[in-house]
Amino acid sequence: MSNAAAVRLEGVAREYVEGGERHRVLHALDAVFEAGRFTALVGKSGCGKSTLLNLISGIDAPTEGDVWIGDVPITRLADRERTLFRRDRIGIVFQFFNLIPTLTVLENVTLPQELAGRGRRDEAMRQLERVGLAGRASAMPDRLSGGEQQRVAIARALAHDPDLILADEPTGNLDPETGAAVLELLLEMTRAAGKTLVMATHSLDILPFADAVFQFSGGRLVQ
Amino acid sequence: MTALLRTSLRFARGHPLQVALLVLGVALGVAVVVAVDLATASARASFASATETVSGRATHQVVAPAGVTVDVYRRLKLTVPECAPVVTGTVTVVGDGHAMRILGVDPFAEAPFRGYVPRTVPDLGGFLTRPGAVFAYGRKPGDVLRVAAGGRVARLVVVGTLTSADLADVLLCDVSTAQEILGMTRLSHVDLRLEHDLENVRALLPPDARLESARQRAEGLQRMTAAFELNLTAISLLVLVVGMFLIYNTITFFVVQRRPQLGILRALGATQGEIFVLVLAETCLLGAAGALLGLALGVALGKGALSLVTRTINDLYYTVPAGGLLISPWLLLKGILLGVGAAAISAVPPALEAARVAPAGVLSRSELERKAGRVVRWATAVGAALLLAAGGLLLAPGRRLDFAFVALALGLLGAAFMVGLLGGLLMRAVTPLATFLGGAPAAMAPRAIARNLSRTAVAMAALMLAVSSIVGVQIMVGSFRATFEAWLDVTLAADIFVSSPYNRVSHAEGFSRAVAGKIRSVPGVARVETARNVPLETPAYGHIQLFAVSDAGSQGHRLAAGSIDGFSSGSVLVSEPFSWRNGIKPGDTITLPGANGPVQFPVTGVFHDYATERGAVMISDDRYRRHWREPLITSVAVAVAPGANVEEVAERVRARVAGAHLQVRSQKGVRALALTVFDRTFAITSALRVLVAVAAFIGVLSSLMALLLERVREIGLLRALGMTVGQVWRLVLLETALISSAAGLLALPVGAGLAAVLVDAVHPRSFGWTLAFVPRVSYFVEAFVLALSAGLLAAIYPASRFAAVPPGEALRTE
Repeated sequence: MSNAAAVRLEGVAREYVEGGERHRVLHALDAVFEAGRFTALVGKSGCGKSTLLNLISGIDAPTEGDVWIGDVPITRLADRERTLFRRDRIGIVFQFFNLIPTLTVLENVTLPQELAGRGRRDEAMRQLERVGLAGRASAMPDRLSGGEQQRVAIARALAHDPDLILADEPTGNLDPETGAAVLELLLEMTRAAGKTLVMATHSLDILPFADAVFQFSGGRLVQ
Repeated sequence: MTALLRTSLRFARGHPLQVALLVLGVALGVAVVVAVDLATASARASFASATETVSGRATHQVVAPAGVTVDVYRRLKLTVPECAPVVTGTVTVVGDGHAMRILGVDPFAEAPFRGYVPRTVPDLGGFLTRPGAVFAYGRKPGDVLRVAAGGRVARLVVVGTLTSADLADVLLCDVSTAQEILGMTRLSHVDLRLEHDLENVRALLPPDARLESARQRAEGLQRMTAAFELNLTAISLLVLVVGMFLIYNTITFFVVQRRPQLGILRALGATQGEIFVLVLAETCLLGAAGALLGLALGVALGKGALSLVTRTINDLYYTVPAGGLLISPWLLLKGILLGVGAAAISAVPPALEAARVAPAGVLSRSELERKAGRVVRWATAVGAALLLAAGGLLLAPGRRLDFAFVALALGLLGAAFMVGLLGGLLMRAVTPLATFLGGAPAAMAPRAIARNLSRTAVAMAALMLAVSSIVGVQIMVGSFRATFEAWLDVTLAADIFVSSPYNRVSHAEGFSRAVAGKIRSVPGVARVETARNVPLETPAYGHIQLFAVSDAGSQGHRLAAGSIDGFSSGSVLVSEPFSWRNGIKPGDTITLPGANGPVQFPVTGVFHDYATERGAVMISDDRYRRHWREPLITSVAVAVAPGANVEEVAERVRARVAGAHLQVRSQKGVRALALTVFDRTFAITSALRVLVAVAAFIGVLSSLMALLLERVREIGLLRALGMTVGQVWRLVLLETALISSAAGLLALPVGAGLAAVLVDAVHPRSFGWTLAFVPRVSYFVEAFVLALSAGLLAAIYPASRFAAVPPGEALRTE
């Protein structure tokens, strides 16, 4: 049975202070990303896509508003609870892979589980098999190509069976061919497991694959 | 180059704490060296100045072991126009125990020598006629002084003022007044001004008298402290070496942190030479800043060091007036050059590494760590070679002191080179235990250390070096103390000791031997032995102590070689330092200057003596009286009859010698006093050890902080993946605890090795002493706790910073 969660934004806003000036990146966002569906967030670089994903994951906190994941208002949780929630129920795929360079491929994949005190190597190996890198389990990340590193990152994001996958421009650092292959893999793995996938991207090529598309315009979301 | 320096400035501005710690590390090393240099130079200058002032313009002196007779002086006076008699000796001011020098002169012969001797009628009147009249510094006419000498107390009256501060410890009086105070019938020496006719003058002298250059006599006296000063300098240099390693450590981290920046600079066209010069120039600038700060600190520390050094010299060697700190421009320049030089030398390896950074993007972090792995293997081989070389130097024939110091340095370096491999092995060994105790999150800590060896090995080596220095010096001092205590237990065989209350190792007051006779008749006294302890200037062996005893067997001295056979029939025993310094062993013969000329004595044995490193000869009391004709004794050792109460007998002895200004002490009291002097002697060594600990602390704080702060992004990623703040704290604390524990553990055998070299090579070759090696468990425990504490404290700032920075901010790409 799928454990997908819907994401609900209620008046979410975020502003930063830089050089003594306030910059409002997100303006009172209201939206619902349906459970078990692939939602694309589209916009130019610097429009706030990554910021929104950080707010949804709990890495960052909004200036105003609430973020609900399933029936949990994560913005109202204390930092510790938010971190545990993220560890147990969210998988993140970053644009720049963000693998720990001094850990092997397998160790990178098991990292979230290790943080939870569980070292499920078997599940991690299963994910590596699914992304076609089981044979590179003991390799160091810098020995892999960009595409391979991103596949490891995808395996890491899924190894602990999260409810929600957040992908921040997962193909942004890859050539079009590799990017397409990675995207296909990501979609296949999340759809097969019935996960909710929210992806930030500036590439319009992804849109045909999305179940819902939200566009950023002037710090606001338009479906 | 300006553009490159600008990048350095920006980097430094972004890391003010690290820069400050680097500067402080250099400052501390320079401060200690400068303080010790200033203190020893000031003490030496103070002594030289005072000696020069007292000797005046004399070019030569006629000396004799038992003093120069007035007849000899008269004979000289007929031949040498510029010739003056001098009576000099040390007295102790009753009450404060302060030592002062009596200088007895003939004002009518003084014109060519000392300008401060009164020559005008008003001054001369009181000087020549009033009993106990003296001129003194810092006192006014009419002041009264009571001084003890030869078991008697004399009352002196100040009739005039000396104006030179070099004469602060001098009481100037007439020759006959001085003789009366000191109980002498002869002159101490005769001052002469000679340009030629040395042989003619020598022909006038009796067999026991010698003609010596005044300058060489003063230099000979100063040489007595050479070994003490050398060891002090060696320990201060140890602080600087630790500081140098910490500088290397910090600059290495700077290079490592700036690797991406340096890669970009290389990609944009900066040459390897320019990068090398850049890193070197930065470090020299920081080193100069640290050196300047170190000079200021050094001058401040120097005042404290001077009082410790002066006190030790006064206790053990000779009287040094309490002068001020002499701040020589040369010593300050030396301090600056030392600081900048130490920084430059330390920066060469990391500067070379910086120059070898590939243009941007080519060298990845894990490739760096793979390289580090290869470097660790190479470094281990070099370390092993250095340790072998150190061993070879120590075993080399000749037992040279310089070899021992070089071996020490090579050994420490060799051990530091091996830390990478040993630290990595320790982490691998600890990982299963960490997993068992704390699960996978706990295992992340040793894994991170082993996988980041390019950083962690350097931090570990720096801390290991510092902690081992602390352990090594502590074991050395502890071993010396234990040896000294064991020696006291044997030599202080009597129950009660009677002596002047003002005795020091450098000067022992004599008193009448009639006192011994009085003590013999006290009820409860079973046996009485006497001893006389006098300094003796010898042409062949320099300044030594002559130790005349009534019974060598009862003195309880343990022999290092030979026996006491023949002692009562004229053979002598020599101390270990004497034997070592002069190459004398049982069966040899030594020649000492007696009252009637040189006398030869067969050597029958070598005894342990830790009271002075000057070298001592033990002779029988009757032989001493025969050849030196001096009737005084320095101490009486009393054995109490079996069954008698020691305290009661001591009280009776006290009552019997009342009025003789003598102190009656139990064995326990003498032992406690000896240990107090011992501890005072090592006060400066203990102070230096504390400074090594502070330098180590600063260094490890700096390197561990750099190590952790470099991983802000990695920690941010871990936080993004679900690591809680509590887990971050535990990870950081565990990592630093493991690094500092590993360093602490590795420091223990290295410190023990360092101590072994100090105890078994440096000390014997410096002073001639044989010391027991006593490494107490408490030293190791303290050192380990120090290392661990440094690590844990270093973790606080980075851990709190990691906790405070939101993971999103940490993850932002640069």
